Amino acid sequence: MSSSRTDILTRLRQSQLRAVLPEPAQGLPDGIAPKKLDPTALLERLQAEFKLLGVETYVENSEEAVRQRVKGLITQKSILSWDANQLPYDAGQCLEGEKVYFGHDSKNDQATAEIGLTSCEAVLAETGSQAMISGPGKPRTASLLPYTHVVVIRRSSIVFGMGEFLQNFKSRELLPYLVFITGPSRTADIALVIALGVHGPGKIIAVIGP
Amino acid sequence: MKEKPRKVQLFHTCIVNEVYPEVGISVATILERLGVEVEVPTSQTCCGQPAFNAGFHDDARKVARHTVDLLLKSGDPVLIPSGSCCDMISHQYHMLFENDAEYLKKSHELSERCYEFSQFLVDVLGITDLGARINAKVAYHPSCHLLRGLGVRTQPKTLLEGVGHLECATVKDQEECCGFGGMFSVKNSGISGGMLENKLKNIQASGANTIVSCDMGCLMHLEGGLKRRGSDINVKHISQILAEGLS
Amino acid sequence: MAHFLDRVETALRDEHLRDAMLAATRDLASRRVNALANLENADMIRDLARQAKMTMLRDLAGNLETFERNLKRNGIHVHWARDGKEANRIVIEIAKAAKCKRAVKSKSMATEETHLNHALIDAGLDVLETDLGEYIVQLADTTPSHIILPIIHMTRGDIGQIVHEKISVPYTDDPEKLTKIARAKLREAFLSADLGISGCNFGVIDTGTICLVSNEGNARLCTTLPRVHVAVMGIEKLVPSLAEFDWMIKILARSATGQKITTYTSVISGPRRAGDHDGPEEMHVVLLDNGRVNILGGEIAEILGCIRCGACLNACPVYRNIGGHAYGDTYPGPIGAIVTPGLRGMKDWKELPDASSLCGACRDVCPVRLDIPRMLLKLRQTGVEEGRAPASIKWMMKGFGIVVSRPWLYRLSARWGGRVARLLASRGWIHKLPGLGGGWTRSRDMRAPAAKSFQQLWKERKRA
Ligand code: SF4
Repeated sequence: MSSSRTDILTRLRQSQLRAVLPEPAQGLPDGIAPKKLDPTALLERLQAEFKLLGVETYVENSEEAVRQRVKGLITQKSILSWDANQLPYDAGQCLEGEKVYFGHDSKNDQATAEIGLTSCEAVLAETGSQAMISGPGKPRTASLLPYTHVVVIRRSSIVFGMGEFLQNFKSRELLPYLVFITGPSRTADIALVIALGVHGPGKIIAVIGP
Repeated sequence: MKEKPRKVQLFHTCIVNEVYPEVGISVATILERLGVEVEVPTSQTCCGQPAFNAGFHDDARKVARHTVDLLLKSGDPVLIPSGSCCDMISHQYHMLFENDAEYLKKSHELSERCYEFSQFLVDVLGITDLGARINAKVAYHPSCHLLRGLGVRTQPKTLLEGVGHLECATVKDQEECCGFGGMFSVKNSGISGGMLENKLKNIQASGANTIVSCDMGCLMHLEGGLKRRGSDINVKHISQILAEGLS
Repeated sequence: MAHFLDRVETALRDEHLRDAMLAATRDLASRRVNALANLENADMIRDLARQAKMTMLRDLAGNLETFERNLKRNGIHVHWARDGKEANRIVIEIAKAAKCKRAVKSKSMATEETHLNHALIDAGLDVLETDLGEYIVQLADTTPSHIILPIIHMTRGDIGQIVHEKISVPYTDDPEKLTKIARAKLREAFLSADLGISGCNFGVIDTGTICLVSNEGNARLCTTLPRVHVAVMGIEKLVPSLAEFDWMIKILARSATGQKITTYTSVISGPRRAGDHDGPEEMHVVLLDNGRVNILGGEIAEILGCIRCGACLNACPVYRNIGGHAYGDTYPGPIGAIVTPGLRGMKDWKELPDASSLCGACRDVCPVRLDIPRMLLKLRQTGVEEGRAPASIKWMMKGFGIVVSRPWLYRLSARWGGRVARLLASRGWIHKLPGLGGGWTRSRDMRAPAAKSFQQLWKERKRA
C-alpha cells in the first residue's frame, strides 16, 4: 500500500511540472468580505429563507413563550431529544411527562421517535441553514431520524452566511462534527418533482427565541 | 475614441465567397453608405477553422500564417462578416501559435483590429439606426462563436431594432446552438440533425418568416434544414436585411 | 461495447428519452440562471473558486501529503489507490478486517468509476445504494445518466414500473408515494448496516476534513449510523481551507440545481469521539488516482478543477439530445468528453471529443470557468498527433492545408469544385452528397456554390 502512495506521489511530482494550467488571474481579492447585517435584518432574511424552504417558523419574545410553543409541538408524541441541558431557554422542561429517547438509547428505539428536538450552534440567514454541532448530549440522530424536527434557535445565534460562521474555527484546531441543514430532506430524482422526507425529516419547525 | 476608420479590409470568408457572394456585396454596400471604403485583399482564402477544429493544427497553421501575413500588410481594420471566422482569427490563432513567438505576437496585433460586421457598425462606427425599413418578422439566431466567443450579444439586436416595420420574434432557447459546428455536422450528423430539428421547431413556432444571423455557416445549415422540410422561411445575413431595408 | 456512434443512434431514435432530457435539462438550466443572478458577487466568487482550484493543482503532491497528515492527526486512516481495482480491494479489506457484512452507499462518482458495487457483491457483502436515484439505478441494474440526477432519463412511469417489479409493491407513479416506499425500505437497511461508503465533494487540506453534500440525507445517514465509514475520493478534490470551501459551496448547488445550498452539507473531521452518541468508530479515506495523475501532466490538467456540478451537462445541446448513456462511461456530457479520454486513454474514446459543435455553452455555465472547448480542441489535436484520425479525413485536411495556403490553387479548386458540385445539384440544391458529405445531406439539403464567386462579382462591380 505504501508503494502505491510513493508511486502516486512520485508520478504526480513529474506530472505537475508538465501541467498546463491557466496563469493566475491578476487583481483578484483575497476573499469575500464578511457581511454584517443588523439583528432585525438578519431575522427578516432568515424568516424569508425559512419560508422559501417550507420551514414552519415561530418567533417568540419570551423564554416562557418558547417553552409553551415547544410543549405544544411535542406533547403526546414520542420524542428523540438532545439532553435537556443542551436546549436553550430551559426548553428541556418541556420533556417532562413525555415519551423521550436520548442519544444513549439504542438506534432502533431512537428510530421510532416521531419528533426530534434539538437546538443548533448557529443559523445562517443567507440560506436558512442550521449549523449543527454534535457531541455529548447532542446526538446527530435527533435531527436526522424522526420525520419531524423541532429546532430551538437562539436569536443571538443568527449570522449572515457560512463564511461568517466558519470564521469561528481556526484552521489547525480539531473541528467538531458539523452539518449544515437547510430545510427538509428532499429529492427531485423522480421526474424533477420535489418530494420531501426521503431519508431525513420531511418537516422542520423552527422556534426562534428572544 | 480614436477617429473613425475610413477604410477597412474585408475578409469575406470562404462561405461567402463561394456560396453566398451576395452577402459580401451587401456588406460592402452598407459600409460604403456609411462612408467607409472597402478593400478586398485578393489573395485571402479561408481562416483555417475546418482543419483547426478537426485537430489538424499543422495544416491549419499554414493557412493561419498566410492570413496573418496578408492582413497585416495594411494597417486598416479587418472586417469579417462572420462571428465564427472572426473568433477564429482573433482568439484561436493564439492557440495555433502558442509555440511560435513571432506569429503569436503578430496574431495578437491582428486580433486587435478584427471586427465582426455588427460589432464594427455599433461599437466602432457608433451606428444604431441606419434608417432602413422592411416588412418582416425575423428570428434572430445568435451564432455561438459570435455570442460566446466574441461576446457580441446586443449589437445585432440593436441594429435590428433600428429597422422600421421589422418585428423581432421571440424564439425559445434562442441562444442554443443550431448544430452546425463545421465538420461536426458531417461527422456527427445524427446529433447535429437533432439539434437542427430543435432549433427549427422553435423558430417555426415563433412565427418568423426570416432567420437573421451574423454567420453564413449557421445560416447555410439552417437553410439546408428548412429546404429539406419544404419550409418557406428565408435566411439572411444581417447586412442583407439592412441593405434591402435601405433600397 | 457498442461503438459511440451506434450508441448515439440508439439514443436519437428514442423520442421519449429526448423529450424527457430536453425538458429536464432546460428546467435545471433556468433554475441555475436565477440562482446565480441572486448571488452577490457571483462572478468574483467564481473567479476566486477557479483560482483556488488551479493553485491547489499546481502542487497537488505536496497538498495531498499535507492533507494526509491532517487526516491522520484527526484519527482517519488513509489509503492510496492507483486504480479502481486497488481501490475496491482496499475497501473490501477494510470491510473484512472490521467484520462488516452490510454496506450502505451514498452517491459517489469515484466508486462508479471503480465499479465498487460489483466488487463488493463478489466479495460476499450486501450493498445498497441509498440515494433515491441510485437506488432505482441499482434496482434496474443500469447506470446513472447524469452526475447529479442519475435517472433524469426515466419518466415517473418507468420508475414506478421498476419499483413495482423489483420490490413487489403495488404500482404507483406518484413521486411522493415512491419516495415514501423507498424511505421505509432504505431505513431498515441503514439501521442494520455496519459499513457506510461515501464519496467526497471536497477535502479541506488544512483541517483534514471530508465534506459531503446531499439533498436527501442519505450521505449523513451513511456517515452516522454504521460502525465503519469509508470515503473514496479522487485525489483532485482538495481545497486549501474552510474559506475556499465556503466559495465552492456558494456556487456548487446554485449551478447544479439552482438551490442556494444543498440540504445537508456535512463537514466531517474524524470518527466518533469520546462521549459522542453516534458516528463511525472507524473512518477511512481512500485517495484514488485511476488516471488523474496522467491528466495532470498535460493539456487538460485544468479539468481536475471540476467540482461536478453538472451545469455543463444541462447546458450542452449534445447531451440534451443523446442523454448520458451514449457517452459510454461514468461521466457524461462535456465533462465526460474530456475526463473519459483523459482517464481511459484516447485509443477507445477518441470519438467523444469530436462529438461537440464547440458552441461554448458549457464554458459559460461552468462555475469554475473551465475552458471546456479549449480542452476538446486539445484532445482532438492529440488524437491527430497520435495518428488516430481516419485516413480519409487526414488526407482531406492535408489537402485543405496545401490548397488554402496557396491563393491561386485555392481559386482554381474552388472554381472546379463549384462546377462539380453544381452538377450534383438540381435547381441550385444538392439533396444527396457522396462520401463524408452524406452526413450533411442526411438531414438537410446543401446549397450549391454560386456560379460567380464574391471576388468575381466584386471585380465586375469595380469595373462598372
Ligand atoms: S466542468 Fe464545470 S460545469 Fe461541468 S460539472 Fe465540472 S464544474 Fe460543473
